Amino acid sequence: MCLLAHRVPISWLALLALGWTACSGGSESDTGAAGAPAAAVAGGWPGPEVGGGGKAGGGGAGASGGAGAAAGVGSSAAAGSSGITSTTAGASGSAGSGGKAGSGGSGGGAPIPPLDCGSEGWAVENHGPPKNRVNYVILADGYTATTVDTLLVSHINLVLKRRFEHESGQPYGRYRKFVNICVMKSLSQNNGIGNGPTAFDGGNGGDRLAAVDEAKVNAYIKAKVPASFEIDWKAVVLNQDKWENTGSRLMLWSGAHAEAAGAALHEGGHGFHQLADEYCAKATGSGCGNDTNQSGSAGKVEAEVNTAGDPTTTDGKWNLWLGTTQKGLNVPDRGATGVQGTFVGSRYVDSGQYRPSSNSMMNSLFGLNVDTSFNSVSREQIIFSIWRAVTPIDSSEPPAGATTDPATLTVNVIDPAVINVDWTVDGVTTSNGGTTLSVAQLAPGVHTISAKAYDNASTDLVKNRTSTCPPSVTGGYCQATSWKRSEQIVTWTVTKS
Amino acid sequence: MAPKTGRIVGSVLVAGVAWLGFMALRPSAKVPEPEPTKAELRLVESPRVAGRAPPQAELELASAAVPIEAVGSASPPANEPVHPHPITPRHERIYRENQLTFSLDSAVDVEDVPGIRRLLAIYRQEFPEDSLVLQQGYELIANCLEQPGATTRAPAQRFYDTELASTLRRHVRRHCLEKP
Repeated sequence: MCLLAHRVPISWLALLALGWTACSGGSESDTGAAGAPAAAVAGGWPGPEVGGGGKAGGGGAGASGGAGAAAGVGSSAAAGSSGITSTTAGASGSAGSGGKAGSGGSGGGAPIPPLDCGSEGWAVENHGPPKNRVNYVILADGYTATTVDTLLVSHINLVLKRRFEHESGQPYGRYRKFVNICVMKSLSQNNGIGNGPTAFDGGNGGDRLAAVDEAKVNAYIKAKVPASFEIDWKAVVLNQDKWENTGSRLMLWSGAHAEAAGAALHEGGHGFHQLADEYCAKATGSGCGNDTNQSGSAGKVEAEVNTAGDPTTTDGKWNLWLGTTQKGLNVPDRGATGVQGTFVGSRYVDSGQYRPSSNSMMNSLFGLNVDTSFNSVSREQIIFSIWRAVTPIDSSEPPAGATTDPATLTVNVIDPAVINVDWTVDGVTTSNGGTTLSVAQLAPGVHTISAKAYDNASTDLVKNRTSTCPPSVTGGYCQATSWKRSEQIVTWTVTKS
Repeated sequence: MAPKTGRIVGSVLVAGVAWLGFMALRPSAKVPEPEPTKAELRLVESPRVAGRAPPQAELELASAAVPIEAVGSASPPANEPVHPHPITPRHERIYRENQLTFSLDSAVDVEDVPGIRRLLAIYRQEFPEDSLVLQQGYELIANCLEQPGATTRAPAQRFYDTELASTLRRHVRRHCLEKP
């Protein structure tokens, strides 16, 4: 049967009218994709800085991405120029070396080149060199040569719109430029899952899990994804409307389901961020239990950072967050998951495990209420995961080291809105001085200049800044150690003639 | 048929038709359904996917349009959907592989070679299929950290060049290929 048919409002049934033909008359096992897009967007992701869409092809899609990105950089550069003329800082008069170094300004640098996703790839998010981005590849299963340009595009757009624009997708909205995404338009001979063979033999993995032939996935990637795209995160989107998703390291979600966007966020929480399910055994979502006010029976210490056996200590995992109220990251701030505490019921048990918030993306992922966002503990973990792959600076101009008579020094950071740069000229530091420093007015001589780039996340977003794991964490391992990668220093020895 | 008998039969027929008509048209014709027990309620709720699933056409996600409900309250909103799946041995196995591989990743991050080797032995034993193409990569990284140089770099380069589906390529590059 068509899973959604009896659960949706009449108005939505009308929207699914074309898809109903494919759903009706089939058995549970052979029900597959909607036959036509409910809200097809054939042109691709409409975001201002993203190319892609339309036919596969790294060149065309990438070129669009490059152009969009270039526009973004251009506006940043304008801000930078303004900063340079209006801001002076640093070495003037210090230590007798004299001169002035103009500081400030963001952006500049070269336009972002196209992202190579291969002949079947759609560069849906292109924000910079793959070697310094989280590279996320999504393969398609159950899409034909026709629906790969219609249904697949609409399924992807829906999912990415929520990930990057809605509060419940945060912190991905904030860190959007840290992620490249290639969607592979892998063709199946049949449309939908359960209607015959597909590219990766997607289907029911039992227990409401989705499953694919992982050997086929690996073989496809080897054959079709360019070597330059160092994959950090891989997923398969299945063209079906069943509630079957999997949060393994190879993440699977059903693209035609009404809650596909939430499912992709939730399963990514498992498969890429090592987050636990925050629901209990009662099958009632956030109704597992109320705030215990840090009391209750202690249970096992699990590996995941967002579930704790001890409500008093949170196993050392989120004691820094206790009692805080999570702020939203979108503007205007409409809040998120509210008070961070110890809520009884988590990781499939009703007692002895505690979750950080009453509701969250890892508890009840459904709907668009902001209380289904990632809670503070999970957001911090996601940020650590992102920093595990990248460092703040893509490149510097000129390269670090000795240089003679440069007009400016520039660090090309992933995103000037997220990364601040402090400039130190002969020992004098200017905080948040932008990505470009004018050194034209420096006095003759040799100067030591460094740029420290760092994540400007406030303590509302990241509290654990020690890059160490709590000793109670199982195995002594955690992702917090990656926070140290969020700071990077480039140093030049500048000779002025 | 005698006239009297005919009248009786006729009256019965008329009464029957009238009764059928009444039963068909009365507003409360349905037999009340029995109240489900608690156990039945849970069985009904478990497979439900969403209590208030929005139509796709309404998925306009501008934050300004987000309906605001009390957040962080102890009481969940009415009609809160159920969690997305039951917990089974398959789920536990996925959790287990996630846990092992994330621990291995963290051991790589802090360059804990004994930790990598210890966890890798467990991972190989429990997941010999290595469907994620990770095990060789972890071993190569441990080798590079232990004995940096051309001997360990060469197989690492081969892994980097050929195992494109492995999420360890970045870390093989970082710990093997870019180390002096």
